[in-house]
Amino acid sequence: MPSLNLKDADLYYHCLGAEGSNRSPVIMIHGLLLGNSATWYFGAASALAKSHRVVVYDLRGHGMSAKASQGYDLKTMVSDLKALFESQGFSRVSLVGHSYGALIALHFAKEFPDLVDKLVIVEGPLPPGRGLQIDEFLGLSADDQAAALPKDIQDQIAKGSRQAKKLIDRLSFLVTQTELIENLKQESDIDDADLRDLNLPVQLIYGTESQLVDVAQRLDRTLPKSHLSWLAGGHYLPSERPHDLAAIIGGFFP
Amino acid sequence: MQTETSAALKSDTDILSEVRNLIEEIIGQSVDMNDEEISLETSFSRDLEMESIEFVVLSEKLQQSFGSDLDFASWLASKELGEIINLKVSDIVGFVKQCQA
Repeated sequence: MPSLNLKDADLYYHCLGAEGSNRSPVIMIHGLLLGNSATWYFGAASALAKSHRVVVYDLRGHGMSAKASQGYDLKTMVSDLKALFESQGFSRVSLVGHSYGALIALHFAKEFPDLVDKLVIVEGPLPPGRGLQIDEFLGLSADDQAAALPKDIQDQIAKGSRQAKKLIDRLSFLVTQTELIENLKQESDIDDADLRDLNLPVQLIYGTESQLVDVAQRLDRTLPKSHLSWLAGGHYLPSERPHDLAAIIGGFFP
Repeated sequence: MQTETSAALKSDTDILSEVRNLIEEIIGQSVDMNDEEISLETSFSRDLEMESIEFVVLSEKLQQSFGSDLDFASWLASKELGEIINLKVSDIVGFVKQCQA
């Protein structure tokens, strides 16, 4: 299992697709808490890997990557991504991100505009803490909390399965033993001026039932080269609409 | 009896035993199968209760064992959720066999 050893984190990653492809490689980034490299691996990543070199990875503290008590802020996450980018010997890259992963992609492009060809933003929340709605979530009853989770995860929890136990262990670690929530709350919104400076093609994909409809509209209005696509669904489009999502992303990387 | 098979081609029994080893490497001792061995009829979701991230690891290990051309990710991605939930060890063995043909 390839992993990248950083000073304070180990990142697990997986390469798919032809190394020889002369197209710009694509790195795909999952969201916080419920996400891991499987978010993309069995959907858009495998479809895109037929024509592109694709890398999926587990963010620090997620999936197979080592548990990390800190570094969930965007600055550190962008620096983790930069280390992965360099370890692969890439000169340029396109980025695809879901939820917080989309913000990592956005901030990477802002910091290193010369290194990025294209962006795909799937359900990226602005301001960053908003998609999680942590305070609202923690204030809900247990039943309502469960109802806010993706359907496949609700099913696992209902069964009390091994998957559910592992998921709850992971969530409990991230929420109670790391700085993740604190990092998220302190993260500020991106300036419209910075968005206007992002002069690269951006595919925006949001769910019609998502809480982030206004974010989609703001990004589409502000980014100079954006295209907005809607999918029927909520925040967890990679698990709700994997085939349709892969088709839109595939169309953006011909 | 399979005495004359080529070195590259593995029998169903060999594939099953190799797949079983890979699964055990991933899930270790954390699954209570009531002392039953992993068989062709074992279900990934119901019996092994494997997580999606463990399928990513399985995909990687299958490639290491049976060749990097084996595109487990695409094969699984083409399936509907219901099919994935009902996936059995025999489906994986069949897929590996089909890739070798």
